[in-house]
Amino acid sequence: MSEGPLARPSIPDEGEGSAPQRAPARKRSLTIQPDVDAAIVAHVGPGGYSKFVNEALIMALQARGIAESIADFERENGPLTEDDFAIARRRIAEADTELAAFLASRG
Amino acid sequence: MLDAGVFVLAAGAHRPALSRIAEARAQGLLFICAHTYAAFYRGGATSARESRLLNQWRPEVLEIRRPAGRLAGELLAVTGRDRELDMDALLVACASLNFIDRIITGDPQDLRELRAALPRTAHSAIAIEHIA
Repeated sequence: MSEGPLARPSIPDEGEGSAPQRAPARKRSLTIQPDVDAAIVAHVGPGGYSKFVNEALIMALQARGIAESIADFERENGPLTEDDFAIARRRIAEADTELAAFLASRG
Repeated sequence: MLDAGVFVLAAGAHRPALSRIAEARAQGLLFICAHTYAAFYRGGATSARESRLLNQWRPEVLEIRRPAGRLAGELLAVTGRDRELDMDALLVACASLNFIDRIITGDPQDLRELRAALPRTAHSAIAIEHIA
């Protein structure tokens, strides 16, 4: 059973959904390694470049924040163990199995 | 997508909640629905642990607009649960309209009941994962 992403890895576009509302975007000048640049363009095309980079930056900020909260937790409660992560992965697999059964029941 | 229960559990140093969030890193963006944000956002400095986690994790906040309100109301009508589950119904509606593929929750049963009530034309391939 795969460990699927927590949510689809993309900020929803405007439309029926409820994409996060933001202030007008700021322009920044960045330098990017040529091979990374080429890989991004190949992956999303020139039109999706900014969205891709924005999502990558948000994900990086989220990962840093999560690491900070884990460090807070571990200072007070001791380190997370491989057993803890095994339980988490089991929960992921159980949810995937339950979803497959639900979708099968819907036909 | 995270529901409010995840913040409550993590703030209470719930080991499975923290290990699951740690697993979530780099698996995709974290989202919450606007009403979950309202439950814990308290402005700037605060000592509340849930609020601190909200600031640390920086989840993307999905707004609740008319389509989500309408779908949530329809879910309540189908399940016959009236206003008893209105926050959960908003969560499921928000997830469906935004093509979210996983909700992590401390209380999966009501969310699964609401997911089953989604119209067949709606996005319902939403794994509902019990964190406790």
